[in-house]
Amino acid sequence: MDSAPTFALEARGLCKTFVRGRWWHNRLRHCALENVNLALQQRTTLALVGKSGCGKTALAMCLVGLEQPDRGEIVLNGQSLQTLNRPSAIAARKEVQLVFQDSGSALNPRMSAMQIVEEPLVLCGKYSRKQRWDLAAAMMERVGISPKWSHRQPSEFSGGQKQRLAIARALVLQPKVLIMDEIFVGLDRSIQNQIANLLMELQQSHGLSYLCISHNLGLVSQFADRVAVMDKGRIVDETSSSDFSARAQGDSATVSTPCQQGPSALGTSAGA
Amino acid sequence: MKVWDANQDRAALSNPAGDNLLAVCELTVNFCSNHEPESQVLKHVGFTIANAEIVALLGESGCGKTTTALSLIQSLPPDARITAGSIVFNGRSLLGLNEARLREIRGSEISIIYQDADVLNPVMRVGNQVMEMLRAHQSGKAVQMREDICALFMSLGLEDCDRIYHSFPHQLSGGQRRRVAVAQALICKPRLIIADEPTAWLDSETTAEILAVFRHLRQVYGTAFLLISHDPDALMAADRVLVMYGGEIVESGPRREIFERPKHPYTTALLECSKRTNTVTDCSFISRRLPCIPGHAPDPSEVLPGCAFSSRCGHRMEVCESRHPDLHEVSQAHAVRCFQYETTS
Repeated sequence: MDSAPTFALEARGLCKTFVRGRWWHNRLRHCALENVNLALQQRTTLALVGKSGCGKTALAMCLVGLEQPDRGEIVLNGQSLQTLNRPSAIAARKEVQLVFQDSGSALNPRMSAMQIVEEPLVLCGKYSRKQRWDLAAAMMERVGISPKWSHRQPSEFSGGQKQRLAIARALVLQPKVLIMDEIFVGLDRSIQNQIANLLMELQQSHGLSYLCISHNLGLVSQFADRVAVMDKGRIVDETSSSDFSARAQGDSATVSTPCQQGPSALGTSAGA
Repeated sequence: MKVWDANQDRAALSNPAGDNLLAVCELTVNFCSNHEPESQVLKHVGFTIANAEIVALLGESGCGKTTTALSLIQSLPPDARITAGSIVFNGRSLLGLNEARLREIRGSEISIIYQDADVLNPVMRVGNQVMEMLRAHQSGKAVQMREDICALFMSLGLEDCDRIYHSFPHQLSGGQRRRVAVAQALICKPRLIIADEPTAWLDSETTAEILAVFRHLRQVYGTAFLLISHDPDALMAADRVLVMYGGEIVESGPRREIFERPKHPYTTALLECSKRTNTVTDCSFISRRLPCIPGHAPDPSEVLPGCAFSSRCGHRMEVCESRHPDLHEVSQAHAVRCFQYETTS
């Protein structure tokens, strides 16, 4: 612990291009990540914001190893994942968990809530049935889902409850780094705050580091320590959240103007 | 560049049912799953939506917002059934209609933007999926329809519309998929659009663009909206707000009235949570704790004799746990389901 590196997770010069179309005449290259450098400090929360389609989710997928980056290096706790052999890379990957963007479709519809939450524990194979049940039930309780609903299937939960189930599944392995892709979507403000409080508590007690992808600037500025802004596959800015919220308040005026001009602009063009 | 909607003027603003486009009365929905007792998810829900009105539906996750939306177009999950109530749309009852008639109404007169992002067919190009919707309800030239769709994509902020049109859903980002789903609901220009979290996964700029399209549809075609959202930007577009808790409507009124002078303890608590706490610079843990409503949402399978919010309410009285409160009008068009206001009515 004494030699703990300052960064829990680092991306160095990550590049990712998605190629579409099998033949030369319809081949399209879409550059999702362009030389992305991002560092997540230990025990802090880094928020990643940016326009829809700018590559936030592609970055998250690369960081957890669901997509292979074309170039660049991912460093977890001071160890480059590219240099590790396969078994130790898999062991290292356990430390990084991802909560998917659309939790509704990320949950297996044929499993019960309890099976979903304890699945990571089953896969890691270190716990007895009783331990798994206790850990999973405790985690469900913490995210505000009553353990007596544990036999229900995902279709029997509301959108917000599914979201919380996905968070419970990610947290049950007690990872060191948690990447959260739009986890506050579809939740009311009270539950958003409740989950943010839970995450902050866990950060205190378990020394977690978070990378939080969100569009909810209000919550981000309260929840995160630093904010990185992404645009067209590049990190264009990184500041502390207090600076960011001060700037966002200034920007909100400019953001709301197209909204007010919108209908009239559309109206005139419709008449033309 | 052709502008979306310029070819159509189906602005049928006349309405045989008077002012109300949709009237829902005493709607009760039960869920009966095989391993649990039957639970009442919606309890005597009643509201109206006028032509060209945007009504927002607010409430905790799991309180029955999506069930309300799905029961309007009667595509509830198989274990749910409507046990009582009526839904009158445009002067005719929707509950007695057969499947063929319902299919005509869905999409062309009432359309829905689903909450889940996975509503798109994974093996079909997204442009064709929007086209499918248009073909099902209208006839016309394919080239013309394609231009319409591209123009709608452009106005929703999908600028690279040629690439998007020919993409499969997995080739698009979450926000782009969301906007395609929105386009699918808007393309036939229905009379009523049920938008369940339309701005989820979208940045504030795109949210503004989508809301601008909503306002435009309302101005030109008199489209009404039932907006289910927690996004403050989206809520600002609403005329009227309904607050739901535990499967019933606990407060309804004009937006300004509800946000500035909330009456029901749940509404007050919810709005309290969204206030910004200006202690960001102070990094100590205690001060960073964000406000939330203590306690859990009620379990729909438990039938409580009193008010559903009573266990979490700060103003609890004896009567709250023994008797169920009725809706009381506190001022014009503002009604609250709370005993605190019983004497004033």
